Amino acid sequence: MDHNHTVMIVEDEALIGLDLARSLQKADYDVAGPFETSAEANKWLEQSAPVCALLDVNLGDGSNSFELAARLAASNIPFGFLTGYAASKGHIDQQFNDVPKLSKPCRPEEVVAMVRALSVRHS
Amino acid sequence: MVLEGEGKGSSSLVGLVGIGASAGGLEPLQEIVAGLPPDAGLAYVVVQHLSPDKPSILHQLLAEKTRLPVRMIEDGAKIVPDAIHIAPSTSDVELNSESFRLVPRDPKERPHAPIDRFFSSLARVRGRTGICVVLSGTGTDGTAGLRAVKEAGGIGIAQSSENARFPGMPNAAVATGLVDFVQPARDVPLRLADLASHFRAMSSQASRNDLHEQIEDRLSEITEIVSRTGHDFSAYKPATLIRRIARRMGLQHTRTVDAYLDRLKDDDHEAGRLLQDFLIGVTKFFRDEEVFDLVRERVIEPLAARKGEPVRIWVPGCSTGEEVYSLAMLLVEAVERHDNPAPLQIFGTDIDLGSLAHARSGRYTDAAVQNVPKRLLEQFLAADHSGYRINPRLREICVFSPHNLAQDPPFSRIDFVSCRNLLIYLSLPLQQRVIPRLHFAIRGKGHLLLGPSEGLAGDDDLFETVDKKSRLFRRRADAETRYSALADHAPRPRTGDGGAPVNWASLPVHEATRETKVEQLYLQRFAQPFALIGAAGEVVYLSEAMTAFVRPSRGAPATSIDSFLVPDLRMPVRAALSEAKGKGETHTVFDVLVGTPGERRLFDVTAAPAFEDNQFLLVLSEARLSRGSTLGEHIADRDLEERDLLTRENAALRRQLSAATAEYESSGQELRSSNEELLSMNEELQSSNEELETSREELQSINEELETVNAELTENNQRLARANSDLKNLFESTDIAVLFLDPGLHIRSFTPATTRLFGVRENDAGRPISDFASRVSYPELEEDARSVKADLQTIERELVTEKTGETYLLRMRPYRTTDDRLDGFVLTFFDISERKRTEELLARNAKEMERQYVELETLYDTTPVGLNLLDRNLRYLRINDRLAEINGHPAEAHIGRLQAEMVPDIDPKIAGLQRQVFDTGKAVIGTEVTGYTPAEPDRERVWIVDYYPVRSGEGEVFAIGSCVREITEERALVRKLAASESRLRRILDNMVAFAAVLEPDGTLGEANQPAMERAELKAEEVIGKKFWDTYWWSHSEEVAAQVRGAIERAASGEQVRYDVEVRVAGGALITIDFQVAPVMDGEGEVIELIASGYDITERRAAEVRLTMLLGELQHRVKNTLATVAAISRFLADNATSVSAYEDRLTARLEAISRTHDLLTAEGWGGASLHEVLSLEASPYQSAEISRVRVKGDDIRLDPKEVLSLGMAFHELVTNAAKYGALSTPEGEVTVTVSEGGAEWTDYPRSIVWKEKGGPEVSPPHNRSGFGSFLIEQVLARDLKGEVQLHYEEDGVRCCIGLPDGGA
Repeated sequence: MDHNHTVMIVEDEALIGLDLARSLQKADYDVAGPFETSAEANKWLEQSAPVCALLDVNLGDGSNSFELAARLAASNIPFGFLTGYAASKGHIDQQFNDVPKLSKPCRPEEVVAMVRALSVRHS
Repeated sequence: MVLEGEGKGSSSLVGLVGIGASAGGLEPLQEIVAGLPPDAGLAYVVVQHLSPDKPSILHQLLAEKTRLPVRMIEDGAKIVPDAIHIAPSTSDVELNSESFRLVPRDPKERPHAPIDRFFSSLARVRGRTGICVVLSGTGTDGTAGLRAVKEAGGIGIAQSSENARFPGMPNAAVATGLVDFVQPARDVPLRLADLASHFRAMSSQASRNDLHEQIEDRLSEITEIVSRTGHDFSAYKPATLIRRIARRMGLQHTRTVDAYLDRLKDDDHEAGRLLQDFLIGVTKFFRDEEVFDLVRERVIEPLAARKGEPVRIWVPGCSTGEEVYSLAMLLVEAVERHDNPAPLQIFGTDIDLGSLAHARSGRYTDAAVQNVPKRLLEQFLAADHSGYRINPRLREICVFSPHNLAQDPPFSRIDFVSCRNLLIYLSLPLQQRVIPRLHFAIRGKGHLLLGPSEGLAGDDDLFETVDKKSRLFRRRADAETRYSALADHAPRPRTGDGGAPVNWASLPVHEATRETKVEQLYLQRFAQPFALIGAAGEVVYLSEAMTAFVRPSRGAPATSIDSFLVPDLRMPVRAALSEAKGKGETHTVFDVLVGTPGERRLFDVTAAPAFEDNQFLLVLSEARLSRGSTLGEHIADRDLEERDLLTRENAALRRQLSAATAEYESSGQELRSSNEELLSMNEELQSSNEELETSREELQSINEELETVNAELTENNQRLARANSDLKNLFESTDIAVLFLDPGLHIRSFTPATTRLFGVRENDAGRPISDFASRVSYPELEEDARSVKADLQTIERELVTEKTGETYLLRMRPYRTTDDRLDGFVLTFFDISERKRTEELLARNAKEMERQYVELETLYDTTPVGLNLLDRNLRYLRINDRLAEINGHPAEAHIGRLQAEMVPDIDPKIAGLQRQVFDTGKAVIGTEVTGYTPAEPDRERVWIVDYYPVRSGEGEVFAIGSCVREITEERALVRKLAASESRLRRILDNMVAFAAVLEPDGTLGEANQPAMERAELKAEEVIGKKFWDTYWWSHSEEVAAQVRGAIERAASGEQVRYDVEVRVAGGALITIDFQVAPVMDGEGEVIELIASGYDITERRAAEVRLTMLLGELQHRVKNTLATVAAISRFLADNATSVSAYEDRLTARLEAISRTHDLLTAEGWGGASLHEVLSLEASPYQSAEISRVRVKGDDIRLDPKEVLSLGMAFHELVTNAAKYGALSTPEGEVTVTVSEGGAEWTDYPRSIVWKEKGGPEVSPPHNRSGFGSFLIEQVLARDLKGEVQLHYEEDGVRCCIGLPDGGA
């Protein structure tokens, strides 16, 4: 965590994204984003790499974050999903079965715990 | 007889005696068994020709005569010594090593030869200890068997023919020359006893070996004696000779070789028999088939194909000629095939004259020829009474002659020599002598065939091997022949000429001693002339010196004294001879003067008997002058003497002459008287002859008469035979039992059918009929017979068999002879059971028909079908109650009335048809008639009517029968049913759902309209196909298979339902709720299947949409809750007190709630800016005064924009109400909305919030308040636009730029 403790947040609901960012910043993480679309996140990723990422599954207007998640997985960047759907429901692609998930609304401690777990995995 | 050494011998079998007998055999058999010793150790087997049909009592007849046990042979029975075994009459007997085997007699075997068969097996099993005895009988059975026994070393005995009643069998056996003993039957037991003791003595190996050694020591002596017969056996293999000598010794029961030698010397016959034994030939037709095949292929065929030269074949050691004839058959067959006219010659030679005689006769038994292939047998052998005879064509090319291969000069220019199994009898040196002879005999590259165990004795350079296995060789033409006829020894005299046997081969010609040589030299050079003179006065031998005294006379040369010697010697020699012959001693005639060329010499002529055979040695001794007289005197004396001699001779001749004359005269007298006698006898004979001539003529005429009578009789006989045969056939073919009885009621004859009634059998003729149990009870038989006899009338009776109930008609008639005399009775039994039964059946049938008639009548009256009968005028002849009821009149009322009268409405409709039936004579069936009858004048009724022509016996249609069935009700029912069906069809076709009717096997019977139309199908495209093969399921095999499975399950009674896609018009797929349900009949049997389905595509889509909506809703709710959580956390951070926090949070939640209400009211399709603004600004807007004014366009916002702006406007309004323009009564807010751009922003849509008239504004100290956070940070992000918040002095200004509207 010495050199990089930036967490990328992708969340189309600005208020929720900023809330997440605030929770993480309070826990001494740097936050990239929150990006509201995959495109923004991708653009950022071209220049930088987070220690881990939190992705909202449903990015509004029928778009989702699975493509982005695949890119992260390919780049070996750990990430977790945030989702409005019940965690048990099969809305998330099977390839991400092992990806940790949080169901909205979630508490700041849960978020921090997940990020911590993810970043540990990265290092 | 007590045997030496071994005590009682009954426990062990030393030999087996086979006794064969036929006609006249019982007597000698009894003689033999009566004399058999009780303990000889021999087993006796009697094979007697017996009829297989009659039980034999032979064993009883023999048992009476002997103490030995007599038993009938059973299959597998053990051979018991000292017992007499009798062969059964039904089977043939053969021997196993220790038991008997019965062989079923082969009826085809001709002639039947059980004795040969038994003897052959006896030879095989017993070998040298087999004895065969041939007794009285005809034919030749036993002969071949005896030969086999002898070949195996056994002993043959034949009954002497003079005391055999039928000598045929024993004579045939003796003719083989192989029989050891020929003697009367009564002497046979003693002979057998001797033989048994010999066998016993020989049975110990040691004694046999001992004897063999003894014989071997003296072998040369024995062969020398045998050689006197003209055959030299000195070079034969000793082992064979010794065995045969030992056997002869046994037969002669001589125990020592010395004794046997004495016997041989004394008894010429014994030497002959031993010779015979030495020469036993083993030969048969086509011995070793494969060898013959090879010979035919390699030798005979090429020879037969060779033209222009005679074919010569030689078989040395031919024995009885089988080999010769076998080769001859092959040769003739081949030559004929090649159509080759070359002369053929086959020489068979042997030293055994008996065998040659047999060969020359060309007769062979059936057993002997069984190896001859059938085609050859038919071609070359002719069957005669005793077997087979070689036909003359074959016989004449075969030449048999005595010849000794080892001694006589060989034949020459032979093409093929078959010399099989001869060399084995010869010792190696003799073989070595024979092979070059054969090489000499064969010409060019001719062939030589030897026996299987014979070879070339080392002379491999003379022949080359053609086939090693069969021992076939080819002569090497280039090899030098080592045989020369000239160098050969002088030939022995041919046998049978009575001359002294001289063993030239053993004469020591070249080994002459010195003494002999000297003597010979002297005799040639210095001896007096001498000669050997034969009994008849012929000169046999002349010495060298004697040749000077020979002067043959003119004429045919002769060796008699009178014509051969010089004339001067003739007289004295004859005188000397005559004296010597007369006195039997030497006689000399002195001083004979012989004139030789140049001088005259004086000799004494001496004749001396020489040897035994009336030969005389003649010696001329030259008389010396020293005898005291001059030659002249001597001559004078000689002349004187000769004169005296002549005078004496003259006187003697005169005496002889007068005696001869006297004898002649008396002979003449006798002759004359004889002549006279003869003349008279001649006369007598002449007259007798005439008488005989007359008698002959008479006899001739009688004979002719007899011929005629005979012809007539023959004719009659033929007719009788024919009649008899007809009668016999009649008897046998008739099923009628006919019994002929004589007047005494004895059976005379009967037909076979009679045996069924009376238990009579064929040989019961002559027995009284009363003896037989009859199956019919006929106690009145005798009574009836008397009655028939009395009045000669036929009596008839019906008789019933007690058991089976068959009925017979008996007729008893008198039996009349052709001359009309009563001679018994004829009883005829006709089986009339069938007739009886038929009569009963007819009676039953009549009754049955009567009953049926009544039934038919009843049926006619009661049937629900209307029936009537109309005549040509259509008047009722008959009508039944049912039709009368239909017509509405009583049945009786119809009869005789016209149809038109009774049913006026109907008549015109049917009269035409009825007439048509009359006209055409053909029935009209199934016509439907509608109309009214008087029975129900108001109701239209329907009937089906049939009209049948009714014919009289002549075939004329005299009436028609009508048959009327009412179908009014059925018609109505059918109409209803049709209506119902059509209604159902309409319902089916108008259903929304698809429906189809299938047969249980899945065949589509019907499909409703929606199903067809939806897929735009025509009936013929699908009806009749298997449902799963139709268009609807053609998009997927899997689906089709599933349908098929469903149909199968349904067919077994299950109801199947599932959702599935079907193919409809244009290939589109729709989802249907599909069901296959079975339709069952009353018994639960599935009779058809109903497939149905309705389109659930829409419902499916709605379900999908609903699911999506639910997901969306959940997402929204969760997001909202997350938003609320975020808001609550911001507010909590800045909260001063719980109540303040609560107020602020509540206000925010209410704002959110309002926005949600708005969106929900709009179906979350978004809302206009005005509406959103109104939600927060409404407390400050009224009809009269509006403190929040909106300027410019109203713009459409999407739900997200609505939510964000809703929250932003809430913060702006709250802030304005607390600190800004709305906190004062006069302050106001202007919201300027523009679509189409503004100066301050690049975004196309812009909203500018500007407060005016409120308190002076200063930027807040803490900009981290929720309101500014929401507007500055959150709003821009959510809108993806631009937000500027300016705290201008005259009031806050908030500028919001939005991208192009998504809503």
